[in-house]
Amino acid sequence: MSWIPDRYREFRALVGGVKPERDVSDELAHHLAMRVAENVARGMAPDAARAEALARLGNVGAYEREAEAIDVVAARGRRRIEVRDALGRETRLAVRGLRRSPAFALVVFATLALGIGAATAIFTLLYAVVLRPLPYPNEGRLVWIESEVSGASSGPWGVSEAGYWYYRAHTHTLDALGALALGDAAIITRDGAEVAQAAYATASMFDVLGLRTVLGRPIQSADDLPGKPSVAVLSHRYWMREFHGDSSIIGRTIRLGDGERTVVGVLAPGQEPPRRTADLWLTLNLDPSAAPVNSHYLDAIGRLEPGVDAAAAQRDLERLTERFPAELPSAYSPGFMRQYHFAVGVRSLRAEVVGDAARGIWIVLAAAVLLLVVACANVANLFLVRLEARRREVTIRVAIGAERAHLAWHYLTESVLLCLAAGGAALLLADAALRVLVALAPSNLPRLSEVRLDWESAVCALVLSLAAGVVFGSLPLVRRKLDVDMLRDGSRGLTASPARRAARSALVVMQTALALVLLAASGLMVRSLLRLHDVRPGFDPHGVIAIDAAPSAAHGHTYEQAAAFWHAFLDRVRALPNVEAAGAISSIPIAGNQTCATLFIEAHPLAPGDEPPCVARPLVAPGYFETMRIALRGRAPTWDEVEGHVAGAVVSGRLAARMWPNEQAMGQGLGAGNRPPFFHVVGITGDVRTAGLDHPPTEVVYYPIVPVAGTGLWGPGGSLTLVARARKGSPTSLVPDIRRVLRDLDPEAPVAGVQAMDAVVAHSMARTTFMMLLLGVAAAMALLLSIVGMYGVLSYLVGQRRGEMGIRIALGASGRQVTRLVVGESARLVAAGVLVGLAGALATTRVMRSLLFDVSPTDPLTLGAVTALLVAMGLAAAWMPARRAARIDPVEALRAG
Amino acid sequence: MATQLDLVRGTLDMMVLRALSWRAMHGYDIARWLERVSDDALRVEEGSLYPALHRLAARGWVTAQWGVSENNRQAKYYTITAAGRKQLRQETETWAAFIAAVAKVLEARPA
Repeated sequence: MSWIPDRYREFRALVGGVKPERDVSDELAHHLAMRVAENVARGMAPDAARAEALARLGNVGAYEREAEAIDVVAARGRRRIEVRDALGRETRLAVRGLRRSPAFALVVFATLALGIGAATAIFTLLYAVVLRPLPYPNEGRLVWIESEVSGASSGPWGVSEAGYWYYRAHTHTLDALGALALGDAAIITRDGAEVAQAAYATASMFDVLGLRTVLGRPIQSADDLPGKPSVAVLSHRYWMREFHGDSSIIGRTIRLGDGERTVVGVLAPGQEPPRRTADLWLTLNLDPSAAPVNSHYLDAIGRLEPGVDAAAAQRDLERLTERFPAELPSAYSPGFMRQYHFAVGVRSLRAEVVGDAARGIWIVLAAAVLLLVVACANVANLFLVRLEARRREVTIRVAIGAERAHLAWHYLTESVLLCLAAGGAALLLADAALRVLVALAPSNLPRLSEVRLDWESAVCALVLSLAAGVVFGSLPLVRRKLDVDMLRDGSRGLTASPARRAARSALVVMQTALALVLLAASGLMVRSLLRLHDVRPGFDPHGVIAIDAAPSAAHGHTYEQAAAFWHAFLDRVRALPNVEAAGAISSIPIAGNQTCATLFIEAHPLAPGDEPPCVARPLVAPGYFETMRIALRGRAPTWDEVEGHVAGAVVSGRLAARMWPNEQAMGQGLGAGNRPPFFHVVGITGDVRTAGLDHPPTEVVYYPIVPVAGTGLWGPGGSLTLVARARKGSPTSLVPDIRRVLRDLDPEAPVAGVQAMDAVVAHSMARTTFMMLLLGVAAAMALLLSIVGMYGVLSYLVGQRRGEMGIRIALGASGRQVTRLVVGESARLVAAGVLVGLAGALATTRVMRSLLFDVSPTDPLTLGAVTALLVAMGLAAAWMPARRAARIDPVEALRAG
Repeated sequence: MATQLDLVRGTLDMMVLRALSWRAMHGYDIARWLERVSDDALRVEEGSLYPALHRLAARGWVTAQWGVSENNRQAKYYTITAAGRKQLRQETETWAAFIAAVAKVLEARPA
């Protein structure tokens, strides 16, 4: 390829800097010499002659520079015009060339647009969700701190108040530490009450996250002292929505469920806590002198000292955590530390926000890249066919003196132009695909709202299409020597060059193999989803609506008031015409926030130094099990028992089996505290998958909403989720009636989340469904493309060997024998592809293990099924060419050959 | 000052074009011609001819080519182009009009 250096130099000259011709000095020297000669001829002495000549010329250096500068500017202008003309000329030529083979151009364009579009869309998704920095200043230095525990039914936990203060006082690696608790707050307005998303934060959190206000000020440490909370900061979104951007809001009071707050600031747009949005920011008012309590409800975020990494902070906080039993003995006993393997975990905030979404998206990106490779294999095949067809043309052109470099340049422009056009279309496709993706994506995919096509996507598409253009455009150059033999023998080339045929077969084998890998991956997701569908959640979600509600502050001060509210509320809901059953629970399965509490068993006192297990502990109001159709042995407490402070507890079968393996569980005593009075087990339920369909059923103790006399149960808040089952029709049709009932009962009671339990269960499968969809689409496209590729190769083969097949038929071969020839070729290609693909699938599907449910990554059924599918499709691709081969008319074929 | 300079520069360009309108010349030829026809009254620094020549070349009014001068030296000869002749014609007309206008002003009597 000796032309490359020349072409390169030419290219450099075309776009690079311009070197002036340095001839001005020669001109001036000539001038000087002429003048000196004339002066001498007039009789002057040589020295004087020279001096006079120089004086006449003036400042020679300045004039020389001026003239050169003029030349440089002029040369640059000429170059610009030349480049423009050259580009225009090449483009026109390329367009003309492509218009002569529209089918080729169209297929290449569409295939590449599809491949590049898919890759760009997934890359954009990956970038927005995983790679893009969080919108906080210093986000690279922000770390998430949590408590890692094992042996509890929930976890990891947050940080306790005492832990927060201790870390804050003694850390050497964090220059700021803030705490945050996300929750709801009831806002009371003239029109009633509503629930807003609240971020309860320390003043230091504003500093850690670098939150900015557009109005007023952020929460400051003077607002966050122990005592009664008094201030609130609004999010920009909430301020615009509820107060229409009224700037007189600063200094005004808003009424929350638990008292009044003065609005001191409004945050800038887009300033949100990590992982969720917040309408208002309220103070935590933590008290550093409060007695340490073993309750880990705080989200802690720290900012690393400059130059310190998360691993160093991890070591630093580990050292501090080890001192908890000594420094905070009332909350952290050595037994607790041991039994729960209590430890601190520090990692980058971005890793925490992105969570396990990253792995899934990387896998989908890998799938998109494989799809792109399959698409490129097809395109390469098309380019090779076109090259074959042009071989004669090229040979003639070269033979009659076309410059090889010009031809190469021409092919390159043609291919780059085509690929760039495909890249443009790919961007449009990616944009459309992203809209669909965002609509379909599980809502727990973080940062979904930030997913949109932007300049990173454009760069991605541009780079991919340019690379494709250069690679495909360079294909014709692989051959170096002039193929005169072909001209000499005058034939039309009965068979293509063996090397190129091998290359094309290899491409088809590779495509088939990659398609198999993608099919296997999506097959595994399909199997997982089917398995998930088969999982029994332990309750019947169909026809049930869940509505969060709570009595207003005026109605819910005591356990008795809360019980009275819920009793009345549930009775009225049950009286609605279309309601079959209604009940309430503090945390619904799957969607609810599953918290755990210590569990003591009356019959099995703990050995000294041992700690009780932590078990999920929802509060239930009568009617819950019936409404959810959870299997129940024994019975659930009645309202009389609840209101009489004598209600028992209901435990899940799994818990009963663990706690009383060889005894009758019914009637046993248990409680969250280590001393009587205990709750007595009155019922045992079937197991419910409260943590999601893809998690094993949880051990649960269902406590009544009113504790037995002499104990406490996490405060009489009364905030529960109503569940109601509709007799017929969609359960959402019950919502307006239930809202009306609630408003009649307690006008200031806020209503928040409304969810159909069907949707909650579907949501639990959302990630698997989403992955299956994405991988399935990629696999289907890859399958289609490789079948097209296979078809192309076989058709071409039949075309190439027409003469030979004609001879065979003329000599008496039957149509079936010729067919077998073609099908045999197809079978060889498919077999090779399947072998390579199976090896690839076995090697790569392992990375999907964490995304699968109850299916092995090397599931033989899946692999067998996709292999069968691929073989069947491969043979189908052979059908048309084989028929064509069998129908060759020997006379015509031989005459043409 | 700027206008004066432009005027001078423009005038020089015009005179160079005029010189070349008879035959191809090199820089020294042009200097000699100017000297002769103006009776040495227009004393330009001869070096300033060269930026002028290159400027005219950049605008496409003259072309340049190396050749051998009368006494066997390498010299760069400038030839006027068709565009250059057209430009010269225009400039000459403008110049004449300008001179006439200035003359009128100078001869004017107080009103």
